[in-house]
Amino acid sequence: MTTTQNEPGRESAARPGPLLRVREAVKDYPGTRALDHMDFSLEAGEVHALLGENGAGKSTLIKALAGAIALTSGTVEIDGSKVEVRNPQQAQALGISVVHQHGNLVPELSVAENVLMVEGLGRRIGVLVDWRSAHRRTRALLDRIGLPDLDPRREVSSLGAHEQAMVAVAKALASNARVIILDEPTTSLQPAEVDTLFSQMRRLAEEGIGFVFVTHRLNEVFKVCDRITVMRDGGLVGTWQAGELDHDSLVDQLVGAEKAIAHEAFTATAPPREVVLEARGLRGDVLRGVDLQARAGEVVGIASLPGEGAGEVVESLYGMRRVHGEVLIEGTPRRIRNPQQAVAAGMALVPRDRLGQGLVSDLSIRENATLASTKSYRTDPVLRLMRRGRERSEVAEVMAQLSLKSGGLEKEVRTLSGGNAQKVVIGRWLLRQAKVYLLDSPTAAVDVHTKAEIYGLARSLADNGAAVVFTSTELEEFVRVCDRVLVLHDGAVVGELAGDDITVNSIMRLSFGRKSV
Amino acid sequence: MSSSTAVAESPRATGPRRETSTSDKLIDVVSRYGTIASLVACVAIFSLLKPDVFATSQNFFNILNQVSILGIIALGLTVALVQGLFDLSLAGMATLGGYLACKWLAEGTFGSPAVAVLVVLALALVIGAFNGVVVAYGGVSAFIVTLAVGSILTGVVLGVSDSQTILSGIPDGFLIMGQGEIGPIPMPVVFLAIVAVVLYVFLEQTQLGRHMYAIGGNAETARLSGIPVKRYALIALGISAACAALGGMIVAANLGVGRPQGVGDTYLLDAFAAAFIGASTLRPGRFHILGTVIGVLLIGVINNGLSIMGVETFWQYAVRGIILLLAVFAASFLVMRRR
Repeated sequence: MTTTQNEPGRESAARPGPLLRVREAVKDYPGTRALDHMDFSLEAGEVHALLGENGAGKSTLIKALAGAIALTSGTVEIDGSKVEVRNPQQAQALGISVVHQHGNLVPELSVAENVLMVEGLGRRIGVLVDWRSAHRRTRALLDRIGLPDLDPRREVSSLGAHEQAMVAVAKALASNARVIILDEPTTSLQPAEVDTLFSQMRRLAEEGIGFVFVTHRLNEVFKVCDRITVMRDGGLVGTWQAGELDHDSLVDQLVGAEKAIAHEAFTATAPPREVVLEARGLRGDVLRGVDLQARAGEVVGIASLPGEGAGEVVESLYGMRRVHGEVLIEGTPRRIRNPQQAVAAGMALVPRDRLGQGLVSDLSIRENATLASTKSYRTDPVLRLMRRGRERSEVAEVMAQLSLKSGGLEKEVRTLSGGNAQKVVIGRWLLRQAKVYLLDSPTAAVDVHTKAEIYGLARSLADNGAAVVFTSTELEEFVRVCDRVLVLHDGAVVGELAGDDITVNSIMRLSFGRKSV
Repeated sequence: MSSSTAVAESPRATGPRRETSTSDKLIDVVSRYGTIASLVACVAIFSLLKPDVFATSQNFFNILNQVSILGIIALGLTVALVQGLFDLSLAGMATLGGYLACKWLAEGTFGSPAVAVLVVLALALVIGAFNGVVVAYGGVSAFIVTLAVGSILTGVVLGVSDSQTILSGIPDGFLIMGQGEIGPIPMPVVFLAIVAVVLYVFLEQTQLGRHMYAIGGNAETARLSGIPVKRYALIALGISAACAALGGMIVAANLGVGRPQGVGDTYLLDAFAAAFIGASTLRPGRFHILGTVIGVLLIGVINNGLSIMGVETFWQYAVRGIILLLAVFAASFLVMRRR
């Protein structure tokens, strides 16, 4: 606790080179080159966006900087002198710190324990923790990140998402980080919290800290970043001043040659048919009497701020959340208290957390695909032997329809990329012949291409007679894929938009509770 | 179902990107077939060193006979482990099973050995299912529940028996289970074969087995796919308990006595060792019947071979521990490389 604090920025005047520079970075994995002569530089005091689609090499670059992996070739320089980053301890010593999407915090520990995890808590009489100085030191750091009122003794799990994000930044500062890499820090934040985070980032940047900011949300890039670097296929596409690009031209740089796909719309071409799903008066700890209908052939969006109803509607319909109210499928009232009953009623969930909730990564594509319909492949209700031949041929058929790219249906699902993995989840419900598809942020953390592919799948599900309910954290998606959007505010439907009325602006205004659009 | 999916193909939308290099393949082969190779190597070495004692058909059946009880218990345990459930009650369960069958037969509670065996198996299923209920509906980890229940079972047998071993009055019809032979094949081996085949088909070929692997892999995904996840803990721990009880009864039949203590304890650690060795074989990271069988054979061959060589018992323990470490290390190494 007695170590003198490094004051970043003080000595920046006579620096021989940029704060951080990566030259000609190459990382080879067996059979694939994840980084291909990548160049990147970060100045002290700037916020630098590092963008690219999934698989473009961003995470590989970050891992290399964090000392988690070793580069095959290439150099890393700090202040113009070449350094070795062979392990996380070395990265830390060099002042490079990564703040991950889901935080590098231990939720059960206090703010102080987390923040001072790297430098260690001070001691009294050799063994006892000197809590007073630990809390004093933590308070100083919290002060610096703009959370002066946060009690260092609070358990991290009791903090809000943005507070956790900021505490993670404080932890980086505690280890005297000068390069802070933020890996999708805003995923779980609400708009106001994002703004708070950004203003603190700007303030710290003025102190001389360099931020590398990784995100899939392009509008944020223009809010906070000074420069933008785009990666594709492991290499550098270009680095620009933020002012040199706008949203559209940035998307073009991200996707490369095939630009059209990033702007294509997937809304309905035919009028919707009969009502498949109807919910009346859904009421629970969040929802306050939600009614909704979804017809065959339509994609119905449900939008709200996080925690204000959209995700809760999906969870309620699928029996994951206790609510009162009525749910009818094709006009028949169904009792849905758990996912098992939901599946039996013809519902299908494509969950937000693909790996945690959508797939069993150790099982094969075939086994994952038939997980909800094993009953239809068993010989009889007693012995319950599985008819593998039939299973194989039907899975093959559905996966061909979905144009799944895999090394074979017996391959473990873990070998698939995000988009292909999502197809396996959707294929599962095709095999089950589900009638209502609940797509809960199906494009979370996938790249522009895969997003378009998933929108296309949502549309084709509807075209083939299913009702599709869609939620997302990115409002642009509603515009591109939904025929109708219900906007919730504080657990109640405050507006319904259709056709050309569906705009980011109108959804945003309604979800903030402004009735007039 | 959708008849067409009109989504533009993007050429760089990724299939499996990673092709395996030679070194990866080598590691893969080593961890898949390492245990089998070491089994073959052990057999070869012992055969060379003691050709006239080790490499005989009599010793072959001898080894099978020695491992059959461990095998039956380990196979049942494998079913529980597939779902990620540690069953520590199997030691107490085995002791209880063997003792109760002997007691009831000696006292004439059940006239027919077959009935007594079936009643014990049914009781074991119930106790195992009880474990499952506490685990699934009480939300307690299987490790703790089965540790507690195992302790209770051990206490119950000691109390019921007053620590007295049942030495007489056990009918021959029961002893056949442990001492009989079909042709050259000892009865315990027959039981082992039946249990292995039944559980293999159960885990690999049936809907229930498929669901168990899914739950073991990711319970939340299984639940959201409409599988009634909770009841599978009852089935898995029930099967594990029944196999333990069957193993305990074969021990009793083999020795001709109903011991109220210490029967199952011998098998507890070896059963886990066999299952974990098995989980590093052929399909690394996955518990499966064939793997457990190989694990059991490896343990059997090593114990038998070392005994024949006249190696002290403490070495046998040490060697078994080293092999378990190597096997588990090989498997986890492969899994790490894959990520």
